Amino acid sequence: MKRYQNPELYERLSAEYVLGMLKGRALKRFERLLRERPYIRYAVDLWQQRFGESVEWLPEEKPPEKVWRGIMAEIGAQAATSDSLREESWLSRFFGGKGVWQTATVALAALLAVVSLRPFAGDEGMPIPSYVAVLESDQDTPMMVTLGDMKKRMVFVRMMQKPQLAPNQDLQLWAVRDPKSTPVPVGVLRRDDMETELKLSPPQWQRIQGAKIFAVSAEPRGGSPSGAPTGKIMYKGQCLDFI
Amino acid sequence: MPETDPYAELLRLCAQGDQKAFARLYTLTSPKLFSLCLRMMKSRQAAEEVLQEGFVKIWTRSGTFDRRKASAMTWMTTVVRNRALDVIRSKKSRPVEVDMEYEGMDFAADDLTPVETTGMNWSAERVAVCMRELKPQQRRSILMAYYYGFTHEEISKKLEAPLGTVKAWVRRGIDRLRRCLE
Repeated sequence: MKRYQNPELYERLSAEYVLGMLKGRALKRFERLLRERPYIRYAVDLWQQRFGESVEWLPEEKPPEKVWRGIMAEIGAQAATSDSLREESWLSRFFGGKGVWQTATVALAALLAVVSLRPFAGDEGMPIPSYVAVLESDQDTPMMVTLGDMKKRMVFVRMMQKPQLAPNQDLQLWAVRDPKSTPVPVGVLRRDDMETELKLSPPQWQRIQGAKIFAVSAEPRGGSPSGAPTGKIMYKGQCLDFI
Repeated sequence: MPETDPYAELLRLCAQGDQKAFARLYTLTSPKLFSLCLRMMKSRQAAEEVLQEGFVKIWTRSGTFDRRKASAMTWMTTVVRNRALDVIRSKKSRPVEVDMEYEGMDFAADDLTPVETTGMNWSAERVAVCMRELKPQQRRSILMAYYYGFTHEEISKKLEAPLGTVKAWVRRGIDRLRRCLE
C-alpha cells in the first residue's frame, strides 16, 4: 500500500475519483484509502474545489416549479416521519401516541415544515401551497404527501414509498368533504413515478375545496370506471387548510 | 479560496433552520446546478429528480459545510453531482448516445470564456486558465467526465478513440492541470 504515498499516483486517483471515473474494485479500494488517509481526503477536497469551479461556465437553465414543490414536500415529509416528532410529541404522549392523534401529529409536523417555508417561498415568486395532507397506510405509516396550489389549481403528490400494485392497477386520489358524502375524484397517480402533478379545472377545484380527508384507492388501470372508489382504500389522511 | 463567498452565509443560515435563506439559495444557484443535472442525466425527468434530491440534501446537511475547505457553490455542486453519479451507477448500463449533440461542450471545449465573467472568483478564473493550457482532447475528455458523468469506455465510444488512448488523455490532462494549479 506504500505506492499510495506517491503524490503523483494519489493525486491522479483523487482527480479520477472526483470525475467519477473510478469503478468496481478500484472505486472500493480508493474509498477505503479515503477513509484511512487524511492526505488523500485533502487531495479529493482540492480536486472537488478545482473541478467544481467549472460549473460557473455552464449556461443557466431554470428548473420547473415542480422541483421546488417537490423539495418542500420532501422536507415536510422528513419532518413528519422523524422519530423524535412521532415519539416525543406532547400530543401523541398525551393521547397515548396512536390512532388519530398520531396521524394529527404527523400532519401537523408536515404542516409546520411546509407552512414555515410558505411566506419565504412566496417572496421568491415560488408556488404557494394552499393545503397539505399526509396520507398514511393502515399501519400508520406515512406513504405520501399532497400539496395543493390554489392559484394554479394544481395538486402535487409525492410518494414516500413505492406502493405494491398489481400490473392491472393504478392508484387514484380522492377528496372527501365529510364522511357521509361520496368521495370526489381528484386524479389518477403516475404509476412509474414517485411524483404526480394534477391540473384541475375550475369546477374540479371547487368540488374538492373544503375537503377534510384525502384518500387513495387501488383501481383498474386508468381509474375507477364508476367515478367512485371501487377498490381498497390504501392510504388516507386529514387535510390541513392554509386558507 | 474566494475571500467573499455570496452563498456561504446563506448556507450558514440554512444550518440554523432559516428557510428564507434556503429559498434564496435555491433561486440563485438552481439554474447552474440544473444545467449540470441535465447534462449528466440526459433526461429532463431524471435531472429534475436529482436536483430535487440534491437540494433536500443541501438543506439537511448544510451544517456540515466548512467554508475553509470549499466554496459554497463547490460544496453544493459536489452534493448534487454525487447524487447524479449514484443514480448513474445504480443503473447497470447506460446507453451511450453517439449522435448526441454536445451543445454544452462548445462553451467549454475550445474557448473557456465563461458565459458571465462578472462575479466569477479568482479560483474559477485560475482553473479556466489552466484548462485552456490542456490539449483539446485532454480537456474534452476531462470535461465530458465532469459535465456528463461519462466513464473512460463511454468517452472512448463517443470520441471513437481506443480506450487506452482515452485513459492516457485523462491521465496526462490531470497531471498537467495539477502542475499548472500548484
